[in-house]
Amino acid sequence: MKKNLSRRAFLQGGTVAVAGSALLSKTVLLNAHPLDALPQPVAPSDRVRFGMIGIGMQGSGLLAGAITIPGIECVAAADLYDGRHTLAKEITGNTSLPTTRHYQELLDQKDIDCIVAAVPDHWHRRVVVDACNAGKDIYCEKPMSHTVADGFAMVDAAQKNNRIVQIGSQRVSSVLCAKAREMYHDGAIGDVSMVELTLGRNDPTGAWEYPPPPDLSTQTLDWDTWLNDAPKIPFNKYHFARWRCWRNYGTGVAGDLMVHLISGMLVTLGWNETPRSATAMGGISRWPDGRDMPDLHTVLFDYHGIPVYVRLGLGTETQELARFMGPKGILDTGEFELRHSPQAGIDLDPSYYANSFPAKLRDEYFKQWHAEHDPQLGKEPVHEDTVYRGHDWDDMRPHLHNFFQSVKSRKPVVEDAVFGNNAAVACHMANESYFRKSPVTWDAASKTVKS
Amino acid sequence: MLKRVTIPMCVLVCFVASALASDEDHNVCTGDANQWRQLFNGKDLTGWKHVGPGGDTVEDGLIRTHGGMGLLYWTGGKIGNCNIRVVYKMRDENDNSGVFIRIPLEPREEWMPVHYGFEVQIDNHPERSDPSEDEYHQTGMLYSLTKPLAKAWKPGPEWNTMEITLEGSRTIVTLNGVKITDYRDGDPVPDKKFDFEPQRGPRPDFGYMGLQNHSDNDIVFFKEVAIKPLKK
Repeated sequence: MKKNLSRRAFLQGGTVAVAGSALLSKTVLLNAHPLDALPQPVAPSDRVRFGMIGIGMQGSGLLAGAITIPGIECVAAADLYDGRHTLAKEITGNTSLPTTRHYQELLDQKDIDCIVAAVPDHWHRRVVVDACNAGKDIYCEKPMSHTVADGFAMVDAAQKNNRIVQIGSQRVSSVLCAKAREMYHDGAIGDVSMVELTLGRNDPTGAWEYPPPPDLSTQTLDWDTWLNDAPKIPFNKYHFARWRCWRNYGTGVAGDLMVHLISGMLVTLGWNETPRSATAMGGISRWPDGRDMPDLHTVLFDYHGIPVYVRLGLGTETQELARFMGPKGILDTGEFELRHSPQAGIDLDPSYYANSFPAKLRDEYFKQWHAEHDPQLGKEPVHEDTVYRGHDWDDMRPHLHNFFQSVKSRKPVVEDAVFGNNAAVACHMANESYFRKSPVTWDAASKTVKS
Repeated sequence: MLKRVTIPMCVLVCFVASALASDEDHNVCTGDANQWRQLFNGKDLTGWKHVGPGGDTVEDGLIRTHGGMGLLYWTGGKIGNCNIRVVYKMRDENDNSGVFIRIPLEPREEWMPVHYGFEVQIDNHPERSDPSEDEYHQTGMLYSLTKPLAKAWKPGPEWNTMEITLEGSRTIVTLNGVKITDYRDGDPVPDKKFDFEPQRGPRPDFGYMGLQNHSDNDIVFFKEVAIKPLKK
């Protein structure tokens, strides 16, 4: 009598043992993002012309992705490092693309509808506030802010100028995230009781040990301007290329990795808020290259009473996973698939506690249990996993598309400044708790992190 | 009856908010500046731990390397502002080993010390590969970073006395009484030539130290490993 077949038994049992029972998982291919069915060509009145600020690792991908969207055109590019002026021309295939070290020139340009910015975290506030004040909508890379105060200044600038601001945690625009949200709200796992967010890497590039451009120097880079409000130090090519390693410029694994997971969680669950508290532990355990941001960072958040625990590491590679747990099962959102594992939440066998009964009582209990609980032949419950996959894992273009659509329609984006700020505050709380070596709480009245 | 398998629920650990132990950043080389402290007791490897391939044994009062590439490090803690004395000899006409210093974390594997510490090299005749190692890779150099001020090694299986001075960020190496390396953080260094060379950039003032076991063909013996604080 083996109706509660475990996965291991299924694999070991072969086809004879499982003949007639249902498969334990099925795979569903999700429809492609509607972006791929856009009409071409686009009428001149529907075109969007953008200026690109920052053409580094992420910026070069954004630029290359944006210009493949029908009706979207890059008309100018700005970067403090001249090598990226060449790169922008190469990506756009436009050898006469105007390029500059001064992004303000793009903001002054009347024929630029909006800005796409991929600059280090310590530049986000200045670029976004300046863009909003200049009347430009802006797509800004994640995390939204370098500090809590920066984030609120950016929210104010967006609201005061009535500008569209989209923050670049592109995963929230994926078909997987949309499916997870739909399933959660259809009751796939019941009300969520706990969330687990994990991601691990184990290679120098994953740990931000990027090779600086070979020709980088104070001749090819405006180093003093690049430092912005950070402490003035002599030219350092590693700080330029590996800025995520230092708190003066970046926000560490929290701002680089966790913000995607937090943003995806907020969209999936329909939340839009900061955590109430955060308790972090971590350290530099794998890449002691002079960085001051932890490469191992665990955080326990309180989201209105629901524990969200986070594990981020650069020392062991593990898959990216947002696990939503509820009384009716689990939703696992990974980078490439969404898995729903329903749980009945009832005994499928007589309680093993009955093994502590004397034989006579035990046998009676078992007999009665089976009489009352065994399903009729052919009516055994099926508890199978469902795996959803998308056609295309490129969620950056849909996220850009969502922004460009809003620039035209003035309808809200999927990840506006308020949302982006809420996700960023979680990152700042994770870092504050780590550096203060103490749990921290969010004080909504003063908009600050308290110990 | 198929016994029901209980899946342990993920237990929420009550985190103690604190940095990891590896954050401890104090210098354990303190005390009498006139007294050498022997880190190797001459009998066994008490106080030492090996990471990576190969290993070390104690034979006739000497540490002997086996296989590699691995690292035997002193577990006592981080040291700086001190002198380190290492007395070693090679088994053959030439063998490869090294004394690691300024290792920023307690090692858990063999490559972190290579990339983020300094290796005071032991190898009189660097590899003639293409591209080739050169004088920056020979005995007494901070491996791949410094150029010899003099040549002072005694060849093959003769005893050599290496003294390493850690003075803030300055590193001085004397071999058999002759100064052959004097380096400060920020001094110009050649670009990286091989993947297995250390990362360029500053090193901590205090770090772990260790002895390399390089390969089956590179057997080196250590008679003495001692430290002494600098005179104030």
